[in-house]
Amino acid sequence: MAVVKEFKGDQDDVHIKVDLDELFDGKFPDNEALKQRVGQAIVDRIIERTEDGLDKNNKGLKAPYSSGYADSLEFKAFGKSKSKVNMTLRGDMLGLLDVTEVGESSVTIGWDDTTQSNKAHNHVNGVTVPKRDFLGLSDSDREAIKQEFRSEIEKINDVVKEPSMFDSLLLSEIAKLAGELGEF
Amino acid sequence: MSFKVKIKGLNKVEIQVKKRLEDLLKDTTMLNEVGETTAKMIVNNARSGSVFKNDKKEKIKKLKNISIAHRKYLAKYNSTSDVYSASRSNLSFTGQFLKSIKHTVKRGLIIIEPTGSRTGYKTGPKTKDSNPPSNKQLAKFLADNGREIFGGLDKIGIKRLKTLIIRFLRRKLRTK
Repeated sequence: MAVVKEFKGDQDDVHIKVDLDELFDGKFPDNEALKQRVGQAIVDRIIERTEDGLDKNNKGLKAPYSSGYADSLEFKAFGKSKSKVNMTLRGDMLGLLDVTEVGESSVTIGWDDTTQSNKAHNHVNGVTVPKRDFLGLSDSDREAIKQEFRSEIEKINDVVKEPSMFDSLLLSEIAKLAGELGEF
Repeated sequence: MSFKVKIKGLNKVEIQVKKRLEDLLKDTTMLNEVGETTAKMIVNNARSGSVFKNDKKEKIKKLKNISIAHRKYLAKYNSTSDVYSASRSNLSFTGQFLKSIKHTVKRGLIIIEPTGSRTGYKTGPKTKDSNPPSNKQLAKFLADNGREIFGGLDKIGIKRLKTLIIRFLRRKLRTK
C-alpha cells in the first residue's frame, strides 16, 4: 500500500492523505499530538523541497518561467528569478499549506482556502501552466520524516497516552486558530 | 450543609501550563518570522503598486502629471530602482524608502517601520538635495498625502500569519 493513500486534485479540494502506518512501517501510536507533529513535518518537507525547486519525485520543477510571466511587474516586484522555479510569488499557496485533517492513522495535507486550492490544482495538473507537481512525498522526504520520529515512536508505541494538559491547551489553541481561518 | 472544595495543586498546574503557552506565544523566533513575513508582504505589495487598507489590497493613489514629469527629470540624474517607471505609483523611485522598512521584536511586540536616513536626490548634473527627510518623515508625508503604507494586511495575509503561528505551536507539541 502506498504511503500517500489518497490524492485529490479537484479544483476546490487538492490534498494528499498520508497513511502513517505505512510511512512508519507499523502501527502508528494513537497520539493526537504526535500525529499533528508528523503532519507538520510533512508540510515543512513539502515546502522546503518545493522552495528548493524540486517536485514530489525530487526532480527539478520545470524551468524557466515563461517570458510573459517573468516580464510582469509582480514578478519583478516580488524579487523572483526567471530560472529559479519555486512556486512562490507572494507566497500564499505554500504559506497556507496545512494539516487539514488528522485521522485514526492518517494525516491530510492540503488547503482550507479555495483560491489556493485552485492555484495548486492548476500547477499540480498543468492546466494553464506547465505541470509542476510538488504535492507529495519523495523518497528522501519519507526517509527524513521517518528518521526524525523513529525513536520517539518506538518509545511510546505500546502506550496509549492521553495528551498532557499542556498539549491539550496547545491543541485547543491550534483548533481555535484553524477555526478562525475557516471563517475567512 | 455544603462544602467548597479547592484543589490547590491543579490550579497551580493550570497556571503553569497557561504561563508556558503565553511564553510560547512570545517566542522571539516565531515573532521574528511573523515580523519578517509581514514586512515582506507590505514592501513587495508596494513595489507592485498596492497597499493594504481595511483588510483589502488596493492600488496606490495615481501620480499627478506634474509628479510624473518631475520623476522623469530626476531619473536622468539618479539611479532608479528595478521597478521604477515614471508613471508607476509604487513608492519605488530609488527604492531607498521600501528597503528601509524593517521589523524588530520588543517585549513580545512586533514593530514594522521605516528606518534610517536617506541619500538626497541629485537634482541636476552638479546639484543635490542636501536636506532629505528621514524615511520615517517620508512615511508620514506619504500617509498625509493618501499613500499610507502601514494600513495593516489583507485577509489572505492575516490568514498566512495565523497559519505561521499554528505551524509553530504544532511543532512545539510534546509527546513524552
